[in-house]
Amino acid sequence: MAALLEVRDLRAGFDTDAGYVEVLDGVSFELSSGETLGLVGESGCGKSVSALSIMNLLPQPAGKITAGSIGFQNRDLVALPREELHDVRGNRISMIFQEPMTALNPVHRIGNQIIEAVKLHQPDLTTTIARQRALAMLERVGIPAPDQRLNEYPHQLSGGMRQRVMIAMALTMQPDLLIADEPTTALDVTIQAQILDLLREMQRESGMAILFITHDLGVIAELCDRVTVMYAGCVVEQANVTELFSTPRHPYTQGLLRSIPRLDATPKQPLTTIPGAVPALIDMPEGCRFRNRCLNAEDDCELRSPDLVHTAEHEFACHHPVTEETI
Amino acid sequence: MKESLLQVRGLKKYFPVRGGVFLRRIGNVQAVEDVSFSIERGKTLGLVGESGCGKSTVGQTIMKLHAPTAGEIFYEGRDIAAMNRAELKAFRRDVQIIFQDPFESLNARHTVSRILEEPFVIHEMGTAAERRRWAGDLLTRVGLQVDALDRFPHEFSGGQRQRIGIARAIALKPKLVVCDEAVSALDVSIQSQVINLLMDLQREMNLALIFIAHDLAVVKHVSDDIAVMYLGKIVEQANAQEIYKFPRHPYTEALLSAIPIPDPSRRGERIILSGDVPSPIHPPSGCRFHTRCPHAADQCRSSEPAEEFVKEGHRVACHFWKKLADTKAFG
Repeated sequence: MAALLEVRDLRAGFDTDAGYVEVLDGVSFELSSGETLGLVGESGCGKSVSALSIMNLLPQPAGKITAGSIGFQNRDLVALPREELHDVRGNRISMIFQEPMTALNPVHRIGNQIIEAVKLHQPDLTTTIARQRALAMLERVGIPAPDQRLNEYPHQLSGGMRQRVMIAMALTMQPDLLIADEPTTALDVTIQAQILDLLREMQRESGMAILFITHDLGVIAELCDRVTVMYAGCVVEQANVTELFSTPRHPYTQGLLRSIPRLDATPKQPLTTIPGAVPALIDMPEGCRFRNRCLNAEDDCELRSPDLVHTAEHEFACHHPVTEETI
Repeated sequence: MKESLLQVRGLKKYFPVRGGVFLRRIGNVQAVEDVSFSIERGKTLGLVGESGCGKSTVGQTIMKLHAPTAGEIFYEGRDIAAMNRAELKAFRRDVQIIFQDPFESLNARHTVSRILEEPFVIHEMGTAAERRRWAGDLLTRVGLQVDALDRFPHEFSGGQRQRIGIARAIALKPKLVVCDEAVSALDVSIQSQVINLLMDLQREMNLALIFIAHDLAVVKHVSDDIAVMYLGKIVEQANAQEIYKFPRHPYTEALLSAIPIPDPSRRGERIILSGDVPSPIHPPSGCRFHTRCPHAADQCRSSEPAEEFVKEGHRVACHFWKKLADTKAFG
């Protein structure tokens, strides 16, 4: 089956006072209908910039896409004219963010914000019908007393409820793709469990694809079908979720998995760490960007940056991948 | 019995809610309600719970950053509310805190050397040259280069800044350090480095740590004992392994099960609690957890459960813990 979303060799970056800084260094991934792809990596690895590029929401005028394509339903979103993009955004692709308080307008009632979104995409609907839609959506995302909530302001809701409102708003147009950028990071774990459950249920009902961006490998394991691991603006590894967690091939993925404190591990033992820190964007090392922190690094890692190697179940970009024996 | 380093008894902290034209007190945020625990030298107590459960307030009250509404805090056997100037100065030297956000807790206009020398200046220790040498030693101790002394906080990454925060906290060789979400803002690969550093320092200096965090996996990894808080109260308290293997309070159980495990083969083993944490201004009657508890009965709505001993060192506040444990054992 053809992919719903196909990001190819995407390069993007920002103009800064210090000159142009490239954030994405040729990122590729794809996503099919009904599938959940996890985009995981640490701060500054470019996962959010990838998402914003798909929506053409990079901060203007500093942000720009310099190369690559974003195929979505037989259209290239990078080259799409504004009017057509407007049809895709919100209608076909929706997005939810980490902090629903900043994504919702604090001076408008919840109901009016959802109604506005509905009418923006279907201008011929009457307010009454749009309101009914909003009500039905709030009910579907599990908000108690939805007719009362419609008249409330964002600050009157808890963080979990606000995220439910965002999800309701994102799903009113029944998008084919939902981009979720760290949607549960600001929430407590018991609320996070509720939201993940809700997303799963919504996906089962509608068959939409989800691009789930997070730094939390636990959430990835919980929700995603496939995983793309990013490091310093590059995709370093890609596989289905079971495969990635059981046999990571890139030393970075392996390091990440080992650094997490686990509930079932012996307490007070030193944790495995990845030495050093992510290099600065303006000062990227030549060759493999992970080599300064990598235990497998050799001379050739400095000479040439590794390409993505495809095996049957796996893609990884490494000259000296983790082998079966060292997992 | 050996004297605990720190003992907290019946601690309460209310913050006033003001309203009306004259800003009269119209209610209270019951941030901490009747909390008791103790901590031994060189040990770690983990304090976990969701936002608004009062865990940070407990930490700040121990630091004497807030005056408690009721209850007592004993440090080395002395009530900290009754300390004289000299005792208080010693207390301030012995008890230190590390905050979550190293961007906000370090003065952006001061060089690292000034930040690290300040504790010595306040406590009138050493000459200028000695203080600078000590500051350099501290940096080395937390894994940074001595040449960082003349740089400013903004020149460092989040993880490095947190190391500077740790260096400042251990400058005066404290006996107790409160870590308030000290690693929560860090990326996993950096988080594990900082956790290891804290555990090393603890071993070397025989430090007691109060580790406040919402991430149960992290807390469990560093703690000897864990206290779980919900809406201002400790609902369960036990040894870290024990509480993880045999949680007795339904809230502890749900909290543990809500943590996403980085293992896709263990999906869906979740207890999903419904609803939100109620407001601490109007906490529910009886057991504060009854509005979200899957096992709540009439008794839970009317009467507040007292803390009971499951066994030595394991306390739980739930009317039905025994019944639930039996059901689990035989069900």
